[in-house]
Amino acid sequence: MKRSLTLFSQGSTYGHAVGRIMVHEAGLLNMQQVYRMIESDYAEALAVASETVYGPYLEGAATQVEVEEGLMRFLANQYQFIDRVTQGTPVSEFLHLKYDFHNLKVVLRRKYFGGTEGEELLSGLGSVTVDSIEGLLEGEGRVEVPGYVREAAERVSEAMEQGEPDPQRIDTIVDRAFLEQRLAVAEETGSELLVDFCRASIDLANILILVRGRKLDKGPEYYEEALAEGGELKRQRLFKLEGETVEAVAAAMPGSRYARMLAGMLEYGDEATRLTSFDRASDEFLLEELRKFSTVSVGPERVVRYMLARENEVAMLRVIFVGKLNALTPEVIESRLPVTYMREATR
Amino acid sequence: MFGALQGAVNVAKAVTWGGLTGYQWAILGAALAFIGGGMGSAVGITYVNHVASGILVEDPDKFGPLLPLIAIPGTQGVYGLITGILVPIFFDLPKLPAYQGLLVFFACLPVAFVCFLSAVYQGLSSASASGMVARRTEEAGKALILPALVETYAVFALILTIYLFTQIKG
Repeated sequence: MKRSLTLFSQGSTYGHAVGRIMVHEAGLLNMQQVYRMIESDYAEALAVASETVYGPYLEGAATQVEVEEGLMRFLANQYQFIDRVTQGTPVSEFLHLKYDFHNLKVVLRRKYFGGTEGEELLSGLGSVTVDSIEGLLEGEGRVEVPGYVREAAERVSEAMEQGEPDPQRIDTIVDRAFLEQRLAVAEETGSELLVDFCRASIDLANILILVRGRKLDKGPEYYEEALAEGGELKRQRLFKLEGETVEAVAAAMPGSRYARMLAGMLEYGDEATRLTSFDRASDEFLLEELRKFSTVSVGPERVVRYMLARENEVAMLRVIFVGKLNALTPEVIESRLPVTYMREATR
Repeated sequence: MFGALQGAVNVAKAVTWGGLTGYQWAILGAALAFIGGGMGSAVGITYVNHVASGILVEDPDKFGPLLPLIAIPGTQGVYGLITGILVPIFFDLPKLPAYQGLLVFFACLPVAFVCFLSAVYQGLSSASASGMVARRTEEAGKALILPALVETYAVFALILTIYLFTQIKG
């Protein structure tokens, strides 16, 4: 009964947005178009793109910067569209969060370590402007930023004042805040699949923290700061695994859904290979979680799935066009395409 | 044995059952059939409407292909109405004995429940099928088949109800 009611409330909340997205989904690139772009030279690839929704954005692009700008403009327009159709729902916030936290990370690094590192990565895709974040960090009084940005910034400034300033700590604190906030927003959407996805992301990030923590010989304060709350694997349980070997971590969670992934990691003797294998397995695992979104016809999952598909396309087009501009062969370009694309291609 | 027979005769002769006359039981059944079918249809159509309105904002040309998908959950409301109208047509309500009125009430239940649920779920499946039309208008025929399968059970319910009416009237 509760499930049916959720289904209907999602229908009335997201039905209109999903209907509009269904039409836009028809404009997603198909495999033939992608292959044609990979196989052609730059001019022909642009001609193929001109037959798609990317046409107006890439028209006349002759340099890497112009390609980047065109693709970012496209993505910004897509986000504006999503914001418009999902107004009043938390799904738009869910999608913008990663950009907000990314921008926060870049601005914080600049504040504490100087330089302009990541300047080109500062994106306009967040829900908070970079100026607002900068204003907040400079201590300007009336800056309107969401509570989660303010809290994360405060946590970082406390950490920077207390201990040795370290860019890695900024990443650790902001990443944790991002994962926890994203879970909170997912819970607001009422979507079990989104919540599940966020919980899995937290668990995988926490497992990685345990493995990396041991490798870097970190103390208990690192785990206290880095381990995010809200995952299926409770923090208290993870604290007990501080400094333990990968074997011990794997042995401690035999019944969990990550057991197979951890067992796969143990097949490699070398620590660095284990980490790489775990990173790849995590991506695959989360991809499988995302794939479950396709079972929902009307709901926030469909909105998220659409935007992730668009982001994936943009990443793919960037690789293709930048590859073409640098005279890379089709084989090399294909090998550099995002893993999500490769998985779709082989299905 | 005799006691049981006597009990059956008493039930047959009773003017009321559970405090309601045969007339009242039959009207209750007819009303319930329409309430179930009508409510289900309203919910189902509303659900698919949300999605269809979104598609039409982006592409108003799809109104024609989408219309059958929007309308199809509405048929259960019609089945409820048919059932409601058939009750007074089949039976002489003022003279209906209590036991027969009760049987009419039970005969109305397939339409009341099956039409309610099937209309709601047909709305869900129509909303999914709208996605096919949104992508490719030429798929409209195939898209309609999927929710039409849900319709089968509402039709079966109506057939059963009408068949039971004929048996009760016997």
